[in-house]
Amino acid sequence: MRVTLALLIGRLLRFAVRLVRPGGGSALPGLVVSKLVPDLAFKAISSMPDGLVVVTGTAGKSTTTKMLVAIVRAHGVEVFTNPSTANIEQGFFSTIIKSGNLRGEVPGQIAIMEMDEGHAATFVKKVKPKLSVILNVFDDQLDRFIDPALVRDKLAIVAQDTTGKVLLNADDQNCLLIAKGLPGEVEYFGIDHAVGSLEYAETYLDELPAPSKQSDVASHSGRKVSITSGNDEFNFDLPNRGLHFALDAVAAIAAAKNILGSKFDVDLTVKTMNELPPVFSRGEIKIINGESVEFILVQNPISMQLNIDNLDGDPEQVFFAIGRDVHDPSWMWTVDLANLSHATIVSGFNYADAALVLRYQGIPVERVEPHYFKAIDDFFSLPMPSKGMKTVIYSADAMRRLRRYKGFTDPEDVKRV
Amino acid sequence: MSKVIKIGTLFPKHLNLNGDQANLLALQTRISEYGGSSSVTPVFDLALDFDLVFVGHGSQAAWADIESRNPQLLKGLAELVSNGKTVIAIGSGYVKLAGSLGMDVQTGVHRSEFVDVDGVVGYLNSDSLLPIVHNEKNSLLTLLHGPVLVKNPELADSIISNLGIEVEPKSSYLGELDYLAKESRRIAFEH
Repeated sequence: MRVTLALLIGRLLRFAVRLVRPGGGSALPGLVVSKLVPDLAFKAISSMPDGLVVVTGTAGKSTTTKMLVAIVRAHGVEVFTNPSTANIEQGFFSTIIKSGNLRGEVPGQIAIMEMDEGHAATFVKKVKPKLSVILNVFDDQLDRFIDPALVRDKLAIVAQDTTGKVLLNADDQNCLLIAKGLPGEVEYFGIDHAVGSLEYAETYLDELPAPSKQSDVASHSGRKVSITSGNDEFNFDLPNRGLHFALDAVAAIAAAKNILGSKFDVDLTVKTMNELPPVFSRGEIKIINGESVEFILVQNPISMQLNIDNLDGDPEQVFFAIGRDVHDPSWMWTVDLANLSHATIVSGFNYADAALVLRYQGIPVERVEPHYFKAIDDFFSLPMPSKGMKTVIYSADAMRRLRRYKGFTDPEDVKRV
Repeated sequence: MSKVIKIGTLFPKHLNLNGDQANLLALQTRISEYGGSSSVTPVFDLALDFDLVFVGHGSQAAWADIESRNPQLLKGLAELVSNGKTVIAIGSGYVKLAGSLGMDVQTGVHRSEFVDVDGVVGYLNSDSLLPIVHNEKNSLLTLLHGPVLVKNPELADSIISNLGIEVEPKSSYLGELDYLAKESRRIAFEH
């Protein structure tokens, strides 16, 4: 009775929030229900016959989870998952309000959940994952985590509380430190050194020897990627440009093979990956006012660096907006923006810091517009560029505000172009 | 020909956790706009003579590595400060140096927020109870991590002025940067 009442309140709240804020309503109902029935999410997820899979790490959680869920679902398995906008505890409650029945039961054979690196360590104390995928540790959210070593410690808790296999990034020394002393089985994925590498958080310790990888990115160019996993080979087009998305793909394939076992089908996986749209705003292309616009979400130094490095040519019209979610904008100064030739309009709550970073790096800024909605209107009123497409680079808060303002708020309404 | 301001930056890759090296970009840009010139050299000891030595903010692991590679570094740095050299130490760079300077290094509740210390605005992410902004002879020591001199151009100009560069006239480029810095300081408290 208590559960039903709490979920009814949650649904009413969700409805009310979405009336005033289309596309919103993820945080508040989950928060309220988590106070009324604190064990609801844990019970719902614990009830999954095939258990819980956790995808965590600093960067790539959303894309990896989306890829993994798509592959597993393509094999006919019913999956319970959370949207990328709900990867902390209250978000799990919100997902249950949205997808579950009034008894707090959610449909699915297996739960595959993206978890924020800070919240995952707490969650796994209540529901132990059968499999966990730990992607990486980058210098990120240091106003929250203070020191990257503390992020590694939290991810190590997830690994230690995993009852089955832990999948780790072999190229990240932080992941190798996490592997040390793990009681259970460990499997590695990564990127072949000849293909390239990502700059993970430095450990400043003697380098641990590279373990042998079960799954590897064998080649990568633009969207094209070739992955080997055991004796299997996978060739497909990624939904987005950039080596970081290839890492997400290899992690997803490695996890899917572990989940599906003998049912795993290479051809079906390749087909699924070829058809998979980008995750909401991660290199997503949308048609607005009859023209294509690319939306690029930058959430931390690594995603800003990689996305700027992997821009599609030299976009003629660039909207650069850093919102309220960036509490301390200091991290932007660790990013080399040299690949960005200019910014057409700089805006968002942190417009001043965004413009300072660009101007100090010698990147021309055609206009700084403090009023965000005016900036959006003026950018989308510009004539179609003579080459390429309008490019929007924004942080999460700037993304939410722009998408709400423009009326495209459904995270599932993303197509591959 | 005007004097070249020589800047040495200690372990710059280790000590840039929050974009702290951008403080040198602020100094170099402003020196150049005032008609001066400067050079920045990455250094790993204090063997060379510089007009200004910069110590940024690094992780615990970064400092463990630095101290194992050069156990005398902080002592030498403290001597530079005591001898009236210009040292800028940011965040954990200041906390580490303070111990060698004989300051009372105690910790309390961790704070993660923007603060305004007599008009100097920056991000405090520390449990240190040291003075947040501390001037010791010709040195500036601050717990405010990241690009504090970008956000506070007057502070940058006072350092440049002490190095013997006249901080005028202001170019339109500096005017633009200073306006953005003023906006940045204002916005810091609207979160």
